[in-house]
Amino acid sequence: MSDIVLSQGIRNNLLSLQNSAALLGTTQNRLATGKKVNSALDDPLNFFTSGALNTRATDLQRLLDGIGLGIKTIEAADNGLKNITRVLEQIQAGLRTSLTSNATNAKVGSGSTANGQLLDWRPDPITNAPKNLSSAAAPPGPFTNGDTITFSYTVPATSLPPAAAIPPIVIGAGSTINDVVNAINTSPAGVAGQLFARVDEGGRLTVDNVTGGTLRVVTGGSATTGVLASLFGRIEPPIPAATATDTGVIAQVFNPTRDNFARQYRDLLDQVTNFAKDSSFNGTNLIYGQSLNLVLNEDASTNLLVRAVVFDSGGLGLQDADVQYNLQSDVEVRNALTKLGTALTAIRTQAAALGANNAVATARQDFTKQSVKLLQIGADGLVLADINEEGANLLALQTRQQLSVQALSLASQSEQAVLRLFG
Amino acid sequence: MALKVELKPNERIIIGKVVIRADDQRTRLFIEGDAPILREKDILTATTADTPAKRIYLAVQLMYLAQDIAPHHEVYFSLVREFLEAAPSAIAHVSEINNRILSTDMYKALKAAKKLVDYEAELMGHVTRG
Repeated sequence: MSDIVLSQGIRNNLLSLQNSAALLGTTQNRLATGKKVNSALDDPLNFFTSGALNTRATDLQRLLDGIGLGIKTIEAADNGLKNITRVLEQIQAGLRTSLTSNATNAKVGSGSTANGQLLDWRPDPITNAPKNLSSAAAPPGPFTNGDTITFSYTVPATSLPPAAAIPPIVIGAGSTINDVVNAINTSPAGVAGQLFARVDEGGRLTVDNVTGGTLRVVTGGSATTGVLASLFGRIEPPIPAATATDTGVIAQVFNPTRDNFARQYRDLLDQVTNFAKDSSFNGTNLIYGQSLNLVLNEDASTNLLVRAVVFDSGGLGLQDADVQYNLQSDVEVRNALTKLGTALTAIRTQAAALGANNAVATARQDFTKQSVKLLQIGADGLVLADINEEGANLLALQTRQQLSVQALSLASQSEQAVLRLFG
Repeated sequence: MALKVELKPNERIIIGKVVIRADDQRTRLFIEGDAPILREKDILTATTADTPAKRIYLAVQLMYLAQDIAPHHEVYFSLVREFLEAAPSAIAHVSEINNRILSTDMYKALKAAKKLVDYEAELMGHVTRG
């Protein structure tokens, strides 16, 4: 009679069955007491390890509460950003609408000359040379060396900064229109954002009093009647005749529609500040200068720092002194729109950063939660530990896992990673 | 400071998202910067990860290579839970892996997972040897 041949697999299974049988006695003992290790005297190592695991679980549980609060703080800030964005978009719409209502600020702009020609201050299209103000040959007209042009203006409201000085602009032998533009824009009035000069696309010189007050232009030196017209082409109302110097005053006309927009604008800016102030959670306001430090492990060696920003209307740059916000001139509205654009970009960037931090914190929260559960299972399991039984359990698990969901999920995740190159 | 790695003829190594294979001679690489690096001998794939601990190792390896725990921690925890139910005494190793992952030290987590694989071999050895 031949021997029975056992395959390796069957032998393994039989052996583990034998082991299980041998362990039955211990199991019965365990059933009687509930736990194998009941005090430090039974098995000191396992008892204390188990105690340590339980302590760690408690530590992590406490951290978990912190992370949970942190996530809420990030969410509160994100919510604040959403509200602020909505208000800013409302302001943006208001500003764009106000552009359709005529700008009525004082402005000397070169219109058409008496004979209907526009004064074109663009450099010569062929030679690209700037046009010389004091050259008799230049089409716009004769300034002579040493002539001066003086601008003066008023500011309508006492709440605004007072009018700043503009030194007289002296026309030299080679002066060009760009020199005049630069002299205005770099004067204290230009730096304060109250006067703004440019040569527009049509080649016309335009000077804006962006505060909405009056603007006056006076020439001095040998320049006489008609010279102003040679600078601007035409000034409304007409220059008073027969004076030693030419004087042009553009009367200020107040546009109530724009004033209304300006008032709305200021109200909405207050709303922005309110939203920023109200976005705190648990005493931390991520968009009002209070950073959040999330501790991620029990000895505080890893943490997640969520940096705060100040996003009230001042922090967003919407109340900067270099922009006048009574919106009477187009320049003001455009400046305000630029500032708004910058502010919206800053908010979007910050929202993205918060989103990323939130994702990290949420992943951490899940992970820590699971870790706590494991530690608790482990602490309980440890006092029941049995090396032989565990080996058998693992073999059984190995067989069971072959077709399990996790195995399939791992396979598909590996397929997406660089591992697929290892085929 | 650059990391020095020496590859045997035809040995492969993962650096970041690419696989680099040595020519048919010994090759020395100096690697600077911050990217996941895994030598061929440390790499498990879905096919070679055929025991419970090796699957855990594979899950940690996926986190390491992706530098992101979020997409993999679900499967990781279900594997670990099953493992601990079968072998509670492995809690020290598992706890070490968790700790390393929590401290975002993924390479050390992988090393700890390696220890778990060794421990599993030891436990199974008890059974197969009788």
